[in-house]
Amino acid sequence: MDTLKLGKYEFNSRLLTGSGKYHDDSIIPEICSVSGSQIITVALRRVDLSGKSQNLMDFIPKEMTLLPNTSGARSAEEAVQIARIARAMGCGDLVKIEVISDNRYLLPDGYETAKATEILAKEGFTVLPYVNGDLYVARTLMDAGAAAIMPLGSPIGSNRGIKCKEMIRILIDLIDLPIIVDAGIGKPSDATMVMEMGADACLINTAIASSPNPVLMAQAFKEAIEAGRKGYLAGLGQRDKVAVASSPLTGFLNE
Amino acid sequence: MDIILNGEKKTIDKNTSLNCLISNYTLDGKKFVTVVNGDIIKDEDYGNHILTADSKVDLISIVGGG
Repeated sequence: MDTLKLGKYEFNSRLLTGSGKYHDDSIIPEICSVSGSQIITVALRRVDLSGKSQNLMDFIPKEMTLLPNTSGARSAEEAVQIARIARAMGCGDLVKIEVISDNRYLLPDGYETAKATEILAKEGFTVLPYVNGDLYVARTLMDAGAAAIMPLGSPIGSNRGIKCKEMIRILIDLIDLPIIVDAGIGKPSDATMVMEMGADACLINTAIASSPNPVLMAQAFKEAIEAGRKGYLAGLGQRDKVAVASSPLTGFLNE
Repeated sequence: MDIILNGEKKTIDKNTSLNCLISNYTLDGKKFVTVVNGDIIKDEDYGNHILTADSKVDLISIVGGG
């Protein structure tokens, strides 16, 4: 069985979905169902005391594994606090570390992320840090106890696709942890490409939620990721600079 | 006395417990965690936790995110 192993956890699906940006959260159960995803990300915020907002948890199927993120954290200390709150809320010990202080491009702070990862890993969390595709940061995170590395494809929510392809390729080559490509994946073929390269999984939120047909797009991503994974496992054929005929070049009818 | 609840100033009676404060709000079954002055308060301690002036109380819940 080809499973995704994240610390002590094991999953059959290699598509992680997000729960943000849907026009109506009532679509989430169908998204989870058609995508085959087993992990869904959530965020933590102050409760809306007006009582007017929906309860997201009413829409997340019970069998889904929650992956709380630490969005909103600008330092390791804040990320650690958010992770602890998530665990106190019953979200379990999986956590996606996001430490961001740049509001325009939302680029992750590798230094603060590594500090938070080390603290949380020692506390028993299964830590999935969101980072730039930087080899040295990834090595530091590996040493700090991360269970996977989540490099960005391009800025969060941009749908711009895989702009950091070579950096991701290096991480896949040299980091002995699952590589989950996160952020910026805009279309199913982006996901197929990184999976063919050997990425272990993809986290998709905006590309699904912002599609005019999120349910169909979720299904498309499921199939794209499965196709890319199968392509990687099968092994890609040799590339040549010139044409190499697929049909015999002898025995033509008019010879 | 005044406290800060979810970032906003609120005036409450002296000796108000966390339980009493929270009961003023309709949370519609939402799971939440309460943080007072940076400390996570266990559910079972809400009744015993008496708020003091200038306490900073945050009720945190799950929302959509990526």
